[in-house]
Amino acid sequence: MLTVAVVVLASAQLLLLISAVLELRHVAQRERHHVWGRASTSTILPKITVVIPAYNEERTINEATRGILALTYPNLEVVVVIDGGSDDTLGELRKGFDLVPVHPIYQHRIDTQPVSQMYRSASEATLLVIDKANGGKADAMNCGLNTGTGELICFIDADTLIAPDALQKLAVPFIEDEDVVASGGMVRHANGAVIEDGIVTKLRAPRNILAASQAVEYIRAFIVGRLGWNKLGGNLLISGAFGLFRRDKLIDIGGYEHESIGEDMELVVRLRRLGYENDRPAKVVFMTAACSWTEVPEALDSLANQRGRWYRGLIDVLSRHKKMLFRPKYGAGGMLGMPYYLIVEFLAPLLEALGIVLLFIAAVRGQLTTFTVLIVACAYMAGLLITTSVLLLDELANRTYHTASDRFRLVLAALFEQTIMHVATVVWRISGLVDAMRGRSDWGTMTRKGFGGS
Amino acid sequence: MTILTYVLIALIGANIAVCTLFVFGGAVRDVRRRRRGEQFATVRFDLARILLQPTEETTEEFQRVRKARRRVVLGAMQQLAFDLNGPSHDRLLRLADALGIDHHIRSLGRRTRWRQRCRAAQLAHLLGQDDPTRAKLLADRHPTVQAYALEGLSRSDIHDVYSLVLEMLDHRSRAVQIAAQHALLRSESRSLHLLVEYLSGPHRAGTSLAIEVAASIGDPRLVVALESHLQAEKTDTRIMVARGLALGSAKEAADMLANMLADESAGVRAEAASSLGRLRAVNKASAIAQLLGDPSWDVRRNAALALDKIGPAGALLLRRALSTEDPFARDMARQVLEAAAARTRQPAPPTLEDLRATPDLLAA
Repeated sequence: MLTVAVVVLASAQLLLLISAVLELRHVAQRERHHVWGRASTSTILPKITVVIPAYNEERTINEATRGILALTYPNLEVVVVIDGGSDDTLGELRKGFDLVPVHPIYQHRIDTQPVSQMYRSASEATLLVIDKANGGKADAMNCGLNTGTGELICFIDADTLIAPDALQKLAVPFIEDEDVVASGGMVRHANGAVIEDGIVTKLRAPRNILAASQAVEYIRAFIVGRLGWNKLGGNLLISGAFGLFRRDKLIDIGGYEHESIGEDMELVVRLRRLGYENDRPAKVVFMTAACSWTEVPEALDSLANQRGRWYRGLIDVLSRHKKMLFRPKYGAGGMLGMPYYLIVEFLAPLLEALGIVLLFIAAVRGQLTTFTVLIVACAYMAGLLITTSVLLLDELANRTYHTASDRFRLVLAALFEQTIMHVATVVWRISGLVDAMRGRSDWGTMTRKGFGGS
Repeated sequence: MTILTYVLIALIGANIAVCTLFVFGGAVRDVRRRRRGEQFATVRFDLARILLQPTEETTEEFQRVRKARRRVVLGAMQQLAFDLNGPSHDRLLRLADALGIDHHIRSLGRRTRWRQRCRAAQLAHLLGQDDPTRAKLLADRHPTVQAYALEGLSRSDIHDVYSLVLEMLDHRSRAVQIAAQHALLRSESRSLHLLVEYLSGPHRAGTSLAIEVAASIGDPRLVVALESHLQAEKTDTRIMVARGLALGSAKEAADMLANMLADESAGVRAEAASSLGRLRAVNKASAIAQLLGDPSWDVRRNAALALDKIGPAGALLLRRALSTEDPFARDMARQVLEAAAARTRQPAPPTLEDLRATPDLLAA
């Protein structure tokens, strides 16, 4: 049983890794020959509304907004939605951008909490700030959907910085293919990075081991879990931290689901599901060249809370869209994507937890056989090999870390991630499952250092 | 059991190998990249020196360039070709011929693999103007090759193939459309009548792109052609028309823009107001002032800024708006008037006497 589980999980990861390698090769060839770079200043590119939902983000909001306004995309509008909160996010924005109140006129197409005031900046013509009653992240993003005017809409977190040319790269699939409804970019850690004017100028491996192991985890998740799915067509997740969508398609499906805890995944799954049901293919693509950076938690409690919430989000999405599972009608999403999330992301941690407990009991009773020890060692080594291969792949494709010491630190972080952090994640996921069974639906709290603090 | 042990050893070995490659492979790549950069700089320097000398084929530098890696030479020549023009460019082409690069490019242009033809298209500007390979690459069956061939056209080349480039605006591939648009933007104004003809004709796939070109060129001859697109279906096209009319600076443009102030799209109204401001259309100031009460913030802002740009007549209307009942019109007028006042309050630039009196200021 243990052997079968190990082989199945390792095969799934290996398949995705191979698919990611092929996709990266294809991306490299396309990058070498595409001519979109020359259109970067042309208004031929569709208008993009960037929505930044902000809840108690006074530490990072100005830096993040400045970073977005500094993007080279020629047809851009920035909407910051302040979703209530107890800190002085609005005050910080007032100070930073010289805000003046304007008419709160917009088309109310999706229900949201009431908007108390809208502001324009006297210094930045493309910036719009919305102050509204608290309704959660999904509500804030829906408010951005109502007020934005772009053909495409990009949602980014207030603690996320994006590369100057990232939007151009994300917009390419929309121009090339009318069926593309969403595209997502790579999210990396900002902890330890050198940041100037809201842009990461040099990425360093974080000194904090928790942050460093998350850096490794992010690279693996985005290369294997997103890029790997591009070729197979089973992409079901665009990170809430950085994604671009066709605005009219989101409005058609009613925007983000307020009640869902994993609202980013739920939205993409719903987009794809309705696409299949209405015979209008809704393609979701991942662009590895479009890069963004986010502050990852360095405190154990914040990390535990985040992982628990992600797991609750996964359970929520799987239960809402269980109809898609193993149904050929839903194409690669129903036959590959959803089963993968059910087996590898949802069930595997439970099996792993069971395995760890049984191993512990066997060890205490002195019944641990060499065969079991070898199988477990092989499983962890195979996992580590996939992680290190992904690191190498990322290095070859993107040349992210510039010094050997940074790369060595990431190797150590990969070892930590594969052993201690992996077990801890299993524990946090179990706690997420317990919370989900108890009906917990809040986000919990996360303390931020701010970009200047790293 | 033994098999499992071997598998485990293999996995550990693979992990060590991958980690070593990850940590040190990057360093090796850095060294190679630096070395290639040095080679490139040397070849580029040698090429520049050869071009300065009368008999290029006999020099020591020429022999060095001949021995250098073809990839490096091609890269350096490609970069130089973009930087040079006139007699120096002609000398560079002769040098390419002497080094056998022409032959290499023609051979690449005949290949069946489109990526190799792409390389030929990228280097095509190293061939003579009348070389048939250039025309062949422009008409290539692969859109990316065509796009690269378009990108390689120089200002004077574009004049010779202007009609063909205009036709390429209607191409099914976006890459070709954009490359054609960029080629038109680089072109000389003596072919402009062809663009006017294109814009005066029926709506085509590339019309919006052509309007964008016209808006950027800003020649009064294009105003008549833009007139036929005042009622274009797409909002973006109408916005572009409004922008283009301002750059044309023709008298009729102001009347057309005044009509656009009543457009259903806020974007068009905002752009039309802005364009009237750029034209300093005093006789349209009252029509612009009406937009100070527009529901859209962008329109109100552009209208107020346009009035400010128009001069005393516009400023008078802005001051009048301070006493209107509409709080938003009042607020916008106040903001722009305040900004204008702040502008005039700025300290005057230092005079020559000031600079002589304060050596620190002069040093700064």
